[in-house]
Amino acid sequence: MRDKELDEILDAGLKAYSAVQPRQGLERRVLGHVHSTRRFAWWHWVAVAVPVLACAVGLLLWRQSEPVQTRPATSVETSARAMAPVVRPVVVAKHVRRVGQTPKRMQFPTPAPLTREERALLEFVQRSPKEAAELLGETRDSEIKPIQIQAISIPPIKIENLEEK
Amino acid sequence: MTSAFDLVITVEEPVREAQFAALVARRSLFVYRVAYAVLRNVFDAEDVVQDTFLKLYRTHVWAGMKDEKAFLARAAWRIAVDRRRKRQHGALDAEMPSNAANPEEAAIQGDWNAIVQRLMDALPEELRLPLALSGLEELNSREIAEAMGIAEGTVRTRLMRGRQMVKEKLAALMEKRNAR
Repeated sequence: MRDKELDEILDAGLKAYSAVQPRQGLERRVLGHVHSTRRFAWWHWVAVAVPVLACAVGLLLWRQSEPVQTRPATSVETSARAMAPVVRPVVVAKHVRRVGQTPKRMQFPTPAPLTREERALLEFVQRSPKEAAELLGETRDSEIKPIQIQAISIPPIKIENLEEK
Repeated sequence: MTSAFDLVITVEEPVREAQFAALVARRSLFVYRVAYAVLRNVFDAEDVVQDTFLKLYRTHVWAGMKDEKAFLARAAWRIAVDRRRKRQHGALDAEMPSNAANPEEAAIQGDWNAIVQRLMDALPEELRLPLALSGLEELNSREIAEAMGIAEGTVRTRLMRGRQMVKEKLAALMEKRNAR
């Protein structure tokens, strides 16, 4: 009898424990929150998309305004054809290079026309190749001599005071 | 020119909105009570209701719910437990002080609901939570187990132990009251 009474009290108490009432208009607040968040989400996407698109367009424009990379001038040749005056391709820059920007070179050092001395040497080689070869051979022989190193002799250190003791 | 796809969207959207509004109207109180059982705070419980329905709306899972009550109980439970964990880690405890009378005073006044409330609050969490959920709108042990993510057998054991503990204390208070 007592156990049944306790069960009844407990069941009633449990119902009361869970039967809490929210403030009025809970459904309205929930739906309002959901709709406001949905509207925010739309603007949120726009707010993200616009800067990203602007960055993409900016990057594209910047890449298009980059100077056109020309083929580098060929290296100096020792053949007769190389004797012809070097004609550098004329590059018409699309825009003025900004001050302080380091130019990007395809070949370093930049090829330059032969100097007067270089041209004279080349002419000499072409006219009298045998003499040039002999001269070159002499230079090479004189250059490739083995290095002579004298034997190093290090005398043992003698400390007079120590020996006396 | 309006395509068939656009027509489907424009026709279905208000229907879905109406269905969701009906779901909120039907179950918001239930979700609120599940959240309150965990948090014992009316403000936190309402926040959990908002979060639960917002999550459901965004993920669109609400349209395919099979067991509506169990599903909502599980969703609200997870969010509430997560919130309680964060609150415990926070600097300030947002727990509202209970205004219920102390068990002895309530026993003298014969306010048994207040006594049960105080005794429930004194129970360990693992016993209090299933017991609190069992007091909700016909939530059976299977649904409680689903919501809490534990075995149904474990729920039954905890319900029995919880009830037994509360009943023992109730009996002791009754004896005291009768002795006066």
